[in-house]
Amino acid sequence: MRMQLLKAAQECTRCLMKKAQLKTGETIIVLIIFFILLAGGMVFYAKIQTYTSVKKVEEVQELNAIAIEQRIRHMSEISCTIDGSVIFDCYDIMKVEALQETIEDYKSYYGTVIFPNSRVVITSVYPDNEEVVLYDYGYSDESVAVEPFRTPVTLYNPRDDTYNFGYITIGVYS
Amino acid sequence: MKRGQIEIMGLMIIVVILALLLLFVVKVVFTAKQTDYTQNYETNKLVESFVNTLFQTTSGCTGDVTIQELLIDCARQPYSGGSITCNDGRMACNYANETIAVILEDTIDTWGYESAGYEFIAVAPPNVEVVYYSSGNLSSSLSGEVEPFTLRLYPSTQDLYVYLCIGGCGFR
Repeated sequence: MRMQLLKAAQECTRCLMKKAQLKTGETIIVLIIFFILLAGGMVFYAKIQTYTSVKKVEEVQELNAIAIEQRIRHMSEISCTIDGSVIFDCYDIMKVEALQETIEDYKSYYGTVIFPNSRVVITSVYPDNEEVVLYDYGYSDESVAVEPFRTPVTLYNPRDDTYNFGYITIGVYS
Repeated sequence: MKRGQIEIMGLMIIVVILALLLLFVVKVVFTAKQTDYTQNYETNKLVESFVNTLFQTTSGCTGDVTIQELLIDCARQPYSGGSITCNDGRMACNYANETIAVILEDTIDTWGYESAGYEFIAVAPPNVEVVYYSSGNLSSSLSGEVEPFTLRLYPSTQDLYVYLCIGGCGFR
């Protein structure tokens, strides 16, 4: 009788051990799944952050290009005038050429205040094809830029008193 | 229900909730249509500046006749092709059409508007299209700018309407 009781107790202990082992295994599997999900979530979050920060940089570059365009629009150095009245969105080619020389003399001012990190090109399309680089910050080949901002402008040529169709290209780099 | 079945159901509910959350995040972050103010500004500015600049441009037809003057002359006599004969023998309507096409090909066509497409139309009274140019896929609509630029045909009270529609005007 005593032997029988001892045997039953031994079997019960073995059974409990098995149950506990199973429980531990279950907990480990749950923890592994939890950490896999956590790692996946972190990777996903990092990807989203990278995506949004790239978008943000592009947006800032676009806004800077618009700001530069607004500055150029109101530059009295190059605007066309008839009897003292300014013609909107019109630039005098000879004044542009003169401004190029001024920019060379005051490069730090124009490079930091007026055209920061940018490349500004004025292109004449019709009737003459001509291109004038108004400002280039110098590292445009190595830098990254969003799609440049382009706006059509009239280019007045006082030599033969003609108005050319042209456009300004503003590329902002980071 | 057995205990095991209930546990599996609970697990499935959690998985479904997680999947829905993931879908929501992906939709909000990647596919949400943001109001692109810079793109809107760029498109509106392009249309306005393009047409205004075009009007002021010296055509090269004869003397210092501008494209605006050519268009007005063409709109006054659309059926005869205008009254101005250019130095190369072309009439005002023909010259304006070809010059505008050249300018558009050298500018907007090269600026990445192929996917959105665009139309340039000048409509003279009573309802004659004196200039028409289109490019790209017109089925899409970007800004849908269909407000015309008006040129008064003095001394009459009629107007010439000029449209530059990014994405297409939708008249045809």
